[in-house]
Amino acid sequence: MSNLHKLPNPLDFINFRAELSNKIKFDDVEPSYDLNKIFDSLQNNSIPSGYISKLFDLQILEHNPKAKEILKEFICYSKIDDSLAVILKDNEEIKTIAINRAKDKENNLIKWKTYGSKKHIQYKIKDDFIFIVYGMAEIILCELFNVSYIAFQSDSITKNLQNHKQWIEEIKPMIQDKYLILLLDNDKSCRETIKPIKEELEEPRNLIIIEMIELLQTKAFLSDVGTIVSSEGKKVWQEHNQELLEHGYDFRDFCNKIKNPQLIEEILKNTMKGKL
Amino acid sequence: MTDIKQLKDELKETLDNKIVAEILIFIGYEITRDYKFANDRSFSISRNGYIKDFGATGFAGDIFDFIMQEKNLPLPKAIKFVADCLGVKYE
Repeated sequence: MSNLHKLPNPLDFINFRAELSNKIKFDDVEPSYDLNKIFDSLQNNSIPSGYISKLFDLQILEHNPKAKEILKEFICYSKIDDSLAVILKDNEEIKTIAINRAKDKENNLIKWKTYGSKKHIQYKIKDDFIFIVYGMAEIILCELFNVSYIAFQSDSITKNLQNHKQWIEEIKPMIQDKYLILLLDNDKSCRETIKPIKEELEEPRNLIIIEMIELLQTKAFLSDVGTIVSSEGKKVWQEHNQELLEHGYDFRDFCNKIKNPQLIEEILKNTMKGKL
Repeated sequence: MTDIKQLKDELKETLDNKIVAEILIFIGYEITRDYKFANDRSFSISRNGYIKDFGATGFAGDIFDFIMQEKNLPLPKAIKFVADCLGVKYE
């Protein structure tokens, strides 16, 4: 098999691929599972007591008249994995089933084992301020807070948006005159999504970037004005607390820390005001 | 500096048999529509883009391993080549 020729110019690949698609039609390989059958097997399972609280602090759900409906739409229970599963649909079509805590053959834990599309982008756009979130639990939080959102299942999806059919055809045209508010996880790979998303916007100024430390700072400011009134004080606070913030700390962690949904909304609004 | 392992992991999430077949054809191999190497049908590409030789060489690996071995390249170069093909940006 050895073939020690030089590699072609990778920039030619896009055109090559387009031409190739006219010459060869690769077989569609059916997945070894039927997504609808998996969903059917899950949807009638009752969720054991205490399992929802493994994802969210229950206080976030309290007094939310839509909570039951949202949980029913997005969350199932897998008896096989003894885990919650998040279901993503496009209208009524099942796109993704993600098992929160599955096990592989060697009994190793798999976080968010996914059936169906890992690239499917869940979104709801109903006003001019759209939250960009990362992860399955964040989708449900956005639904609970009833905000516009675009949710990537993982950071890596943003790296190839220019070839993402759903993004190009459905989402990108809808967001050009909107504000996008990125709720970044506290890690490098999430911060690296800023650039590719920005490049998809005609008005990059409409991008509002919010770090988790900034939400925590707003919380501290709201509850204890005396400590951080000056901009210098804010800077010192942020530098000190950023070091302490857990790697990968995300919006779900933040919501679970704050618990009170009204306070979470207030913190988001205040943080956004400071950025606009 | 790009974290090369992270870039590889990110690329792997976007790869499937079709993209891997297209890259292999791009770099000079003949792949049949059922994801096998035309000149050695014991080599095939699985649904997640993994390449395996069920025959003599016993090769088993991803597209990066394959390019590294077949084109005699260090792994970071193989990863960056695939990233460039797919338009995935890195610094």
